[in-house]
Amino acid sequence: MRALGPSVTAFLLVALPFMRSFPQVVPSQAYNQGNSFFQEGEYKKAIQAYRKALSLGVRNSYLYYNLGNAYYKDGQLGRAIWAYEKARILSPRDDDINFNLKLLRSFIEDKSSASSSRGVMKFFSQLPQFFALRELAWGETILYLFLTISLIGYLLSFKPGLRRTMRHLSTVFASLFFVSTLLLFARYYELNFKQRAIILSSQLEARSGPGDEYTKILTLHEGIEVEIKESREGWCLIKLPNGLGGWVERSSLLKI
Amino acid sequence: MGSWKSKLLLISSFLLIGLEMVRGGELTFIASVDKQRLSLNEQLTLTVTVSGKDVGSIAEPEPPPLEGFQVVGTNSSTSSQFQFINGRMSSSKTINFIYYLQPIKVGELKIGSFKLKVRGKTYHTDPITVKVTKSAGGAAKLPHPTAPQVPSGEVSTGRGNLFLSALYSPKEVYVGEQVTATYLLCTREDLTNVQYGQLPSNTGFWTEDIYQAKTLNFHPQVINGMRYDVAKIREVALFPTTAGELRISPMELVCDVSVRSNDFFDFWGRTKRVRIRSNPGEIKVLPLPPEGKPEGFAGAVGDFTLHSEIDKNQVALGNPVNLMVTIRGTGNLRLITTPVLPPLEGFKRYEPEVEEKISKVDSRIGGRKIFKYVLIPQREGELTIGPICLPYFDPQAKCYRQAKSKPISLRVTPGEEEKPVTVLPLSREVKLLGKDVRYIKPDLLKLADQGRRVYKTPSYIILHLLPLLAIFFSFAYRRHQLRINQDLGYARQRRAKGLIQRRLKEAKRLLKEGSSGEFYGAIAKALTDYIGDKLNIEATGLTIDQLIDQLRERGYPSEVREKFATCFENCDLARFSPSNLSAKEMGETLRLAQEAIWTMEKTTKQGEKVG
Repeated sequence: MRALGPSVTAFLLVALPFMRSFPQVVPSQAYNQGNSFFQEGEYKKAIQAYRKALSLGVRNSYLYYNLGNAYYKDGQLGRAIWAYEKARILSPRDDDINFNLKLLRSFIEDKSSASSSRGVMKFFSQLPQFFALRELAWGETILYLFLTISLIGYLLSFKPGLRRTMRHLSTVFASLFFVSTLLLFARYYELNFKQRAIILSSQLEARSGPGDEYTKILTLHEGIEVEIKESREGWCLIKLPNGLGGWVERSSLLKI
Repeated sequence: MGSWKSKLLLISSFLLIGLEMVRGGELTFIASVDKQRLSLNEQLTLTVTVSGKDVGSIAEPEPPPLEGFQVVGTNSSTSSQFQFINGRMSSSKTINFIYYLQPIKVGELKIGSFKLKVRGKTYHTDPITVKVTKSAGGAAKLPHPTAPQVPSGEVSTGRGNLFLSALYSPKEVYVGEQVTATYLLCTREDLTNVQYGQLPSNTGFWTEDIYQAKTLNFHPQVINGMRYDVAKIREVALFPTTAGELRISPMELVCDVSVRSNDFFDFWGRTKRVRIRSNPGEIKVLPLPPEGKPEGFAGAVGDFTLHSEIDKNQVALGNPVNLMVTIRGTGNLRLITTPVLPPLEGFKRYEPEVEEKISKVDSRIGGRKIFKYVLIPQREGELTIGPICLPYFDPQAKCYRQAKSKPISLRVTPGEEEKPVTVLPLSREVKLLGKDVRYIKPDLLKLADQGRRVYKTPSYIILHLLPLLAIFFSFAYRRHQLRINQDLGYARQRRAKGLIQRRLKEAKRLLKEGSSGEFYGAIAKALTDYIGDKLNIEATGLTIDQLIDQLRERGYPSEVREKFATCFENCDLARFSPSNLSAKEMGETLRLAQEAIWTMEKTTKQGEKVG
């Protein structure tokens, strides 16, 4: 076992460059083709080209953004909002994405009041959304490396002065690392355990149970973002940001 | 382009002829053409090659009368070759005389023999026949063979090998009629890095780009008997906004021209930055005739149609109706402000939302422009939206015309309820129509996969595991260092093994020298110190028995003790007996000592409980 450890590490280090997947050329071609369709005003064809690029397995904020624009120009408000939301997961601070999303949301017929928390709480609850998951992952890695380097420096330094400096550094990096890890977990939880969706039907009745025979309790319009709480027999229990909810058919939703 | 090709040609001929030369050692004199069939507007390159040993400087061969051809240009190039054969160097030289010929008549044309006199001997080339056909029709002559407008001193060649030609058509237009300016780059040089220097500032015109070259597509063309490569750079539609003699300032291009060098080995050549300027344009702009100018004419010039429609035929009182007025056609669409609306009685009208799409059809600018009006009927019953007109001037027919739509009727039903004003959703809508999403992101060479799960990549995992290992090792190292510094016994124990190995080596040296007394002394001292270090006791004063007792107390097995005892006894025996012991016996003692140490180390390693 003792002999195995280093050899496994060495294998991983050697194998590392080859384990990366090679960049594909085709998605960018489909993307650029979509752009030229868009410029000619052929929005349906542009949508097809962008979806082709997506089907090749690339998740890119530019691609989702342009797809959102094409959907919007084609009159599909709900899908446009969906595409912008997808783009925003990958590039949360992109100005264009946020602008268009805000504009499209102003077209939605019902204005549901957003989350009720405010002030400091709102800041902390929205802080993770300010970063993409990959940014948080790499930030966490870098802080982790700084922390371990300063810890090693602390362990290996025998002069009292240097040792004290290293101890302070370690404390600073440890707290930064702690914060970044918290952010990373918060974002990860939000993206992987919360199921959000966009309503696609221009008008949709939410019912009190999973079936047409139940009472209508809400009317929803295209483009609203909801959270899926439960799924059953082609129906989903959804919840609006303001706490209202009901059962709708799954086909009228598009998961983000 | 010329020098590139000729250099390539040169290389090939250089290689072939070079081989020929070395074998023959004679003078070679050949004439060749680049093609045997050509059309009237193509050019023929005739290459006369002289090569041989000690060609040195020879005169140009005497050309035959080139009937049916016009010599457009000449060129020459020289190359040398050195070769070592059996240690002897031979040199040969090749000279190419190149003639650029332009056929001036159709049919079978004969190029006679060139003559060359070298050291009293006359050489002849074989005559060549080429077939000249009529123009292939593809490459027509430039419609406007402008003389090169290249300002002197600005172009390196100065031979008119490079110029920018601007064509303006037509030369006489009405205000608001389209003038098309086409810029052609004509060159006989290698061009790289072509950029716009200065774009024409067209005051008095409203301009619209028709074509802008992204890559230069050169087509061969003959201008004034010379072959040029011509590429369309830019095409612009200009709409004059005032009458009078208007001047279009020239366009400037900046490009790198490769400088032909005489040195063959300077293969890539050098380039020179050159600025070229097109010819300016003079356009006579006629004012629109005042007679017959219809009412409401707002400057539309071209050919237009007008169409209007509403989104519903029946509407409740007070609810909005969208009226769409579409203008289609060619002309100065952008300058059309609004069509003339008839007085709309019984309607409340809002300012229109304008949407225009400019398109280009056969270098004519046109397209469509849509005006979206929001109308709110103010009374019930049948309402009519009368014909909507757009008066425009037709420059082809030189008269004014009207584009007119059919009247539309609308049924207004009484409102379902007495809503005071439904302006609220309307005003919101009007406000929002003015907004649009931001434009799409640009093209990309590579789409990065941003959704890759970073935390699942091997590099991420390694970056998190390796530091843990490093911390573990540095922690272990620190503990070790601290024990050495603080625990004297630990330090002695750690250094004992290294020390005894050095000492035994020293003993081995003594053995080789044969000084047995010193050898046994060293062994005894080394072993005593070793046990002292290992057990962390002061061993120097102790007797053998005391040392062995100490070992027993620390729990070392009898095997270890016996080995040490034997060693010590051997040493004592040897030191105090008078007889000199043999090297063999000394070696045996050394081996025994090493064995004792090895056994002891092993016991220690087996468990610290011993210590």
